[in-house]
Amino acid sequence: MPDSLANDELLMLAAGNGDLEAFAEIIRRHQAWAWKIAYRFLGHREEAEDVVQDAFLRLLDASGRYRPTASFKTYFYQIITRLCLDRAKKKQALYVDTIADFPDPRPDVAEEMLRRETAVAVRAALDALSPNQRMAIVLRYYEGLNYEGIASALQTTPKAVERLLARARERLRAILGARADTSRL
Amino acid sequence: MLSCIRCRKRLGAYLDGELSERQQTLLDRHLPGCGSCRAALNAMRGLEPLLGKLDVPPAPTTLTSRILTEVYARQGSQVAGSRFLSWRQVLTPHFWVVRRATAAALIAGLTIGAYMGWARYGDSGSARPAATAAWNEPVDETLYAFDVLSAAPQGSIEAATLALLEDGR
Repeated sequence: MPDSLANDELLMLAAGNGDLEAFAEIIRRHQAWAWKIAYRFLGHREEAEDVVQDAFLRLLDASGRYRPTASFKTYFYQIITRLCLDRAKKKQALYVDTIADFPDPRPDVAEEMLRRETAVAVRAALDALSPNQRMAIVLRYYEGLNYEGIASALQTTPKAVERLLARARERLRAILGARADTSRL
Repeated sequence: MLSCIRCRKRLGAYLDGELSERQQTLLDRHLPGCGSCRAALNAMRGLEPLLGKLDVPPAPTTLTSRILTEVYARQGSQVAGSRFLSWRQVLTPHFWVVRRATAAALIAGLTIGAYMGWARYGDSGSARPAATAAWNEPVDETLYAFDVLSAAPQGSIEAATLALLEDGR
């Protein structure tokens, strides 16, 4: 087992015994990737912050019951996936950040405009997916999880994950159309 | 021989490397001879670089501190407001160490207080004369004990008050 995973589990067990410094270390290690999952799924900065905070608080609440039967990250994937899906189902329109407002250093204006336009189109296409399809895409393409890992996070079966991804890809192809055909050129 | 319909159904899993060895072999044999399935596979492959263009801003610099603030606030309110402990809290060593120390301090305080009370009041129920001399040495000064529990006239509040007034004239 990689050292980082073994340490995460020990930190969680310590947190379960009331060691808040151990839990603070868990937050420092994992808040960046938790943020990325939440933002890619929700597409909204404040929503993503709320979900990440809730996820860690949920993790803290459960720390007393935590047993390292699976890796810490697997456990945390389940928590953050669940919170993202619950948040998506409560809201209809999640897509608010239409244009990324953080600076891009590339000087070519036309290329930058095209890049941003593509990013907006990808964002819109992801938001057009059902929550489960969107999360399957996020976990597969951005987190690199296999079907087993996605199934664990979504609390479903690998076969169901295969079907989710197939439908999601079909929908993305339909929405993004020619962009997908030329993206590999 | 694999049909295009069955091939298309498994193209995603083929792309993701999730097929069994046998299924992988079947598609490996089908694809070179089927242009439409190859086109479908290539279109599927085109999604990955496109999805990579999704912009993700860096996590807010205040996110960690925001979470930690909430974590410590929860812990503080739990310690201050909780009257009931879960059985998991009771079964931790920390719980018993703190409780033993508290109990020991309480018992010591009660013991000292009881001894001091006995030393001052003894068995009579009334206070012994307090003086700068040692506690068991006779004193010259007449002191008046306001023994509200005693029926003896010399110990009554009225007698003591009258005696004070007499002395004051």
